[in-house]
Amino acid sequence: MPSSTSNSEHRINRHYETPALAWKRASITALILMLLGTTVWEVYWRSKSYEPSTLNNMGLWSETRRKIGQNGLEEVAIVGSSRILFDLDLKVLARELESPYPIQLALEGTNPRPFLHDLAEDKSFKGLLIVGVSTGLFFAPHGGLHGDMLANFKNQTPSDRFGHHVSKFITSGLSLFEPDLALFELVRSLNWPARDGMPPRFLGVKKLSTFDEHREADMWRRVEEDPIYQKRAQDTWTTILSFGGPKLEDSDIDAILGEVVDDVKAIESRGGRVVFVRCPSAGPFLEAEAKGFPRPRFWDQLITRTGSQGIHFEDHQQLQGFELPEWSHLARKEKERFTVEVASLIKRQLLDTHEATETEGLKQN
Amino acid sequence: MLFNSFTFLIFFAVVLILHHGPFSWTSKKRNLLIASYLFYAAWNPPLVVLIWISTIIDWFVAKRLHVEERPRQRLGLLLISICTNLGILVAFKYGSFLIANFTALLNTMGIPFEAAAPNILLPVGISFYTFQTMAYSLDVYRRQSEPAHSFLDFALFVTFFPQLVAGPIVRPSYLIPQFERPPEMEAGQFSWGLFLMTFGLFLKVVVADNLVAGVSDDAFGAQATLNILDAWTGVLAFSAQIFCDFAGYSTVAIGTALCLGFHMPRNFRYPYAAIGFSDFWRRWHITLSTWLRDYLYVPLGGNRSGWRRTQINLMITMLLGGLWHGAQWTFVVWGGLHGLYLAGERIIKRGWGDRPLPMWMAGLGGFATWLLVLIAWVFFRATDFETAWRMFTAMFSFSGSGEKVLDSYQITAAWSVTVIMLTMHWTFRNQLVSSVVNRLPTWIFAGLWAAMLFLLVVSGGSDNAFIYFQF
Repeated sequence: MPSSTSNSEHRINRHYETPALAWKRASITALILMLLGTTVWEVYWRSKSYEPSTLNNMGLWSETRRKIGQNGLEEVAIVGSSRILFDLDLKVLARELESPYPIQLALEGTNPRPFLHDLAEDKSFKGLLIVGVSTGLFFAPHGGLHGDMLANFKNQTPSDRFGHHVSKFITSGLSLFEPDLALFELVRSLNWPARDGMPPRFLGVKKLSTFDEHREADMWRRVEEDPIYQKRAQDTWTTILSFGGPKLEDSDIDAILGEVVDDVKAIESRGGRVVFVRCPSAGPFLEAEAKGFPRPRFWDQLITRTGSQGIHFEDHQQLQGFELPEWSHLARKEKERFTVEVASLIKRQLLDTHEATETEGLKQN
Repeated sequence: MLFNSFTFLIFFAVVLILHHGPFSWTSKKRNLLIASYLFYAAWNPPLVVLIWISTIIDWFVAKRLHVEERPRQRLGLLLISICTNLGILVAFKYGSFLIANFTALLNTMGIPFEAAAPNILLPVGISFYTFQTMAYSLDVYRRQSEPAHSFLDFALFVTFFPQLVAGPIVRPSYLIPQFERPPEMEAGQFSWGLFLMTFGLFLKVVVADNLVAGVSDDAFGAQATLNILDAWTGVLAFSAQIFCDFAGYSTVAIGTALCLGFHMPRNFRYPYAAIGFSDFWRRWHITLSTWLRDYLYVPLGGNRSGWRRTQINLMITMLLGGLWHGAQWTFVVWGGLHGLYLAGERIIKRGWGDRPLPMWMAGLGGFATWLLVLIAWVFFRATDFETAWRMFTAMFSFSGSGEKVLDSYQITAAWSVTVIMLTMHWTFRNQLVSSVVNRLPTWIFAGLWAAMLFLLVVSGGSDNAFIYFQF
């Protein structure tokens, strides 16, 4: 009988025998050439205003999401789309609200409702939730750009979590890991001819911001300082707006608001509070939003039905006159003032609610 | 843990340091075993228990099988091993599929029945390690090999991390002897292993993920009937993606093992340069096709019981081989198509006899093989028959109508990759990678290696899992 070491059919066939090369020379040359190429690549993109920035990816979002539930009633969390992400200065918000560092969960181009629902279902969340409302996205029938984030967060493996910390350490020192600078993204963004019967490919700008490890987003300097890039950003919005928004019936809106009301009530039942914030927009963006999502049908309904506090930039003198380089997000220098004013309005409105509740309680007694 | 992740880089660096450090051979094997469990647990820690169950049962079954002489008792022991491994596989991989089909069958018969949708998590690579451990019990049962002498060696054979989740499926007689004593590393073996890891990752990250995955996703994900060019481009893109993804994984696994001093069997041999389907299956996922041959086709009778029975055995093997890939009827049809191809080839060969093929006929045969393999890939990639039918309608509709979903960049990328891939496969179809590299001047080899490393760094992209993990 053949032994375990003598099976003739499956003896060790060395299909991958080591080729006879000068391995030391080959390895060192390959390493040097790769490092050289990578350095040139990095230096080139630094010269084009790209700078190292924390990657705003699933790992960072999940790390931030896991902070929920640590500060009870004092906790401040933010869900929404890119405006509330870019426009609020987290440090200033914490200072003004005298709260722990806010947990920024807003995502660019993403519908905040599933995230509101997620926090409504998470009984550990009992704090203040600021919901950024970009009407088109808030009432969208789909999740939007990062609609899969929650599912990914729930399916995160131990390997994903560890990998995120390693990746954060490596990528935060180099600009070449910027998703826009991935080689094949760059190749794809070249001016490829359009096929007959197909519209030219939409090549909008993607990079509008830089992030830090707390998901504090700042408008990328190039959007503010480079008029050509700024124009491209504006053209991107013009193109996206030309696609039009979802066609919603009253019954659709009613159903959406029903879900939102349930979520708000769930948070409030635990002592939490929900404030909706409509950040500024300008120019053609504002015009398109006003036309596509008239305020009485959407925003006003939202505030009335939920009974929550709502801060709409059009309602407050102190929320006027900000600089929005590409019509949709505040310039870096505006963040502090905007955050101070919003925090002040939140405090005032919550105080009013508190007093009203107390008065109501006294009357009942 | 994915090979194409920073986590793996750190993990592998630690494993290498421990493995090449001043420890005894037994300690090094223990380190490898612990590392392998960590590698697997990095996805979902509790699922390691399934591997432990499989390992412990097969270890004891094989020990008893070796000393047991009574046929009925031997068969009973073998059944314990097979039922355990297949039981794990069926419960976790095919449970939902069986319930859904049972429900559909009852409903078709007019019996109202609705089963609660089971929420069963599919353990990564379950089809690979269950097949590998079953081979161990079957080999001992058939007296083709002795049980492993050490539990540590056997546990490491079941769990060895480079090939644990997506193969190559390694036979016990191939790997266990390598664990028995410290390996002798050839000069340059470590660097060669690192190069193969780079090459495998290049195939996966640069070619599969960055160049063609999006093209096949867009084509197969379209809800309308496509334009003929888009449909064929989508299929070509998938044929490149599945090869580069899976061959890439195998190459990284082989390179990883080489860095540790171990050899792995070859899993791919330029499959798109196959002439005929028996040739294709000697080139594509070789360790699975030989497994199916040795443990399914031959026990069924192989070609020993006449022509008709041979065809039936072949078809059963291919249908089950299809089902091995996933709990979906589309995979079964994919396997069945390959069964039909193999049967058709046997009919042609019977008529042709042993005469050698003239060059033009070999070329035509190669082209026909590739074309039919492409057609079969439609069932493999489509998530349902509706999608497959839509793709076929588009591929064979010459009206010029149909929706265009791919832009000129995607078409250029998919066709370029296809042309380069086919050229490489036909050029090197009878050569080993080692012999190709052997002929290169060192500076050209170093330049190619550096280019692949550079492209890996600048390609970016997310940590996409390897396609075969789901199998």
